Amino acid sequence: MTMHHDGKRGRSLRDDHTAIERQIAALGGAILPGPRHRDQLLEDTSDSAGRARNQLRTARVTIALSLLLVVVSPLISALTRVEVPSPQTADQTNAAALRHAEANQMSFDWALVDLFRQFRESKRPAR
Amino acid sequence: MGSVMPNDAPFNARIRQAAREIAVGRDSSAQTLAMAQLYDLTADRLVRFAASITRRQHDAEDAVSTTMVKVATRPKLLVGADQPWHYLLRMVRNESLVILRSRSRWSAIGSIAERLIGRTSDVVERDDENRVVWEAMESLPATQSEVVVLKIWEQLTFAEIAEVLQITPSTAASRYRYALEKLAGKLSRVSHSQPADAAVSSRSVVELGQ
Repeated sequence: MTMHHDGKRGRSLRDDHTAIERQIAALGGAILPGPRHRDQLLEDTSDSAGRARNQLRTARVTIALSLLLVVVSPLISALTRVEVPSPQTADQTNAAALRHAEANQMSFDWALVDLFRQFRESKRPAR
Repeated sequence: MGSVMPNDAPFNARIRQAAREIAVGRDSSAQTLAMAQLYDLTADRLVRFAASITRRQHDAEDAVSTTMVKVATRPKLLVGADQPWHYLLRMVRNESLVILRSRSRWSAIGSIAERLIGRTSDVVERDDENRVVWEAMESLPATQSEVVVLKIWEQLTFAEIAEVLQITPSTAASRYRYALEKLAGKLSRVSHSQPADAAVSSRSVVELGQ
């Protein structure tokens, strides 16, 4: 320590500041990372990069699967759709009765009765 | 000035190149090699800058580690920066401030305990002659000490310091002037109280404390 901050000794403020700057610069050279810091940091960054890569891969796979699901879902829906049979309309029943009467040489009324019986038989649980 | 700083432009170019290699590194070994290059280029200077803010060696190393991990994750931040070195300094400063803020009450108690047993700082060795200067630096407000560090250790201009610290150049200059005046006062007291040719010992630390 040779620095003095004393105007009486004739040293200017600028000289004092230059000396302080020199001391601080010397201090800067003395502050260094610890001996294990480099290895630890490289290990950390390597781990972190690995984790980031895995996260990226997971995100990509998730997005791909989501897109696939969006594309495939109409197909799945079409394949798994169960259509509930709707009851016949009056016109359809009349037409069927006419066909039945013509085919079996019977009257329209009996054809209707026949169709009704067939319908009731089809609804009856099998024994 | 003690350590000669490299000219900023080639230094920035080398940092950018290292960041670019991290970005294009296909596998982890290539990335680790590029990170090692970046570390060797910058770590010493980043750690001492962080130490001037956190005042603790391990906190400074943590701040630098966190910064480097961020760079490894997003190297394009550094590639795209106008001045990669200033950008790194800003990142380290931010991390150091985060660490300072998150120091728990327990850590404060630990710090008091360290002071009681005489270990006021682990940045500079106890019997190091730089210890007196370090303690004088520690006594400065953080806003002033970081300007001193950037000016003397990093040899930045006041305009560059202003850019790193997000202040005006005139503020940087006035902080620097006040800091040097305070340091002059503190260090002259120490130098008057001991022989000029003697290395600064633990005795001067006690004198500074008094």
